[in-house]
Amino acid sequence: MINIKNSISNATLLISAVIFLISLYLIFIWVPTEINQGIAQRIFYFHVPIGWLGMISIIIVAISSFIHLITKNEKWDNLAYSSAELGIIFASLILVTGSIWAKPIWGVWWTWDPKLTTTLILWFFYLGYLMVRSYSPAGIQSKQYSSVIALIGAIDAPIIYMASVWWRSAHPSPNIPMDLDSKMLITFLISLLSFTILYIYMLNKRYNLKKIEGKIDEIYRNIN
Amino acid sequence: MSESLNINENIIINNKYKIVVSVLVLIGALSYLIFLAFNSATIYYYTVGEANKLDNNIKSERMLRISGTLKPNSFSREEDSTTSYFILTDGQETLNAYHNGIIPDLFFNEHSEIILEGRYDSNKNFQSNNIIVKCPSKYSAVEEEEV
Amino acid sequence: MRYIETLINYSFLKNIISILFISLMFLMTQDIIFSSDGGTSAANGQIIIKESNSNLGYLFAVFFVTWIAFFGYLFFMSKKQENIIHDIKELENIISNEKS
Repeated sequence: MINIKNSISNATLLISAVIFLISLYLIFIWVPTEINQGIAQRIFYFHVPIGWLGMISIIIVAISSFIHLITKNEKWDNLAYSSAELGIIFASLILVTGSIWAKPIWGVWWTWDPKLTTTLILWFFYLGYLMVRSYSPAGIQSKQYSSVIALIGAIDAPIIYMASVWWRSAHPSPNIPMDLDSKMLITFLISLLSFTILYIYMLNKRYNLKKIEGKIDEIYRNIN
Repeated sequence: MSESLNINENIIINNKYKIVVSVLVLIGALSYLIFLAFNSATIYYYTVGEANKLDNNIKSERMLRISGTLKPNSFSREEDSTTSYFILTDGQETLNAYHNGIIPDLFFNEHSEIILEGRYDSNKNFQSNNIIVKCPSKYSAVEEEEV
Repeated sequence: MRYIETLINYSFLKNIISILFISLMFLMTQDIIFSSDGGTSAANGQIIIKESNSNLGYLFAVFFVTWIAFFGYLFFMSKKQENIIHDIKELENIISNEKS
């Protein structure tokens, strides 16, 4: 069983490496340059997939926290925690890559645009979740507190997504232009796929580690 | 045994304190963000027409963001000066503005929407501190050329 | 014990794969770094050519930041894995001490 799981995990890594190579070829060489923004527009193929995964993470955290609250099954808590850890990495990357894109195009590193503000709030939700988890004693209570943070945080994800539609923003109004050039669309989809597979690989890895960590803690508690 | 228990209790109390602090930090940060985002400027930017209709005391006191496009041929900069003068328009109304500093490249693109961040000076001209260029939401490819 | 050894071997293999991966990416993208003359001439010529040159650095910054973050996280996970292996060894010691 362990071997099968391990080879699946390795296959995922391999597939994601291959697709990443393809998507990098597409992003750096194949895709046509955008007429107004020039090469900086290619940041789009990094920024948007990372953004979506960062938003999906908090939803995964919230759903699995919720199931954990009901069933008290540790599995779901492990999944929630792992997803939150990946979430803060992706959320930080949204902010950083977005900032790097904003400088040459908008002209500023940061502005209090509704989409940026709500994304920063998401980042603080991840931070709060992880802080509560790491500073509190091992026990059910901290898991409940952090679940509440995750459940509130998940409301933020659709708000971020719709921010540029609901409010005036420096972001373009549909997140993805409706009539994207076909080569740009293909590049975007491949890039999205590769980031998603890598995400799944990392989530699975972290989840397994978390599970083993939990087991070791349990053994220590039984011994003492 | 009792000693280690004490240590454990101390750790727990210490950690509780840390949780309280982190939750406070979180709440503080959140409310500050919400305050910034939705209180000080209820909308991210005004159009030129809306800005012209604003109350005079708002104009004189508040930091504002105003959006429009660059009126063709309205841009000027004296030599050896970093201050540029230009006119923003929303198609109908116009706004005289000036900016001291670097102008982003895409500022001059006819498809760009420009958001100025700054305040009105005493002559009712808009003094921009920051220029934010909003690009068209449509991405179009550069025509392929044989190299 | 076998399992732990295979674990270590696996992560070693992965490190090699990742190094290969990075060098491949570098070779691929070199093309763009050194042959970049903007390569584009559009309606309002000068501005765009100037732009795409200076913009390239931003694209690479995004690229590197992303990869540094991902590899940093993978490194963090492999550290965790080492800790786990260490913990297991400690548990083994405790058990063998109790037996003797």
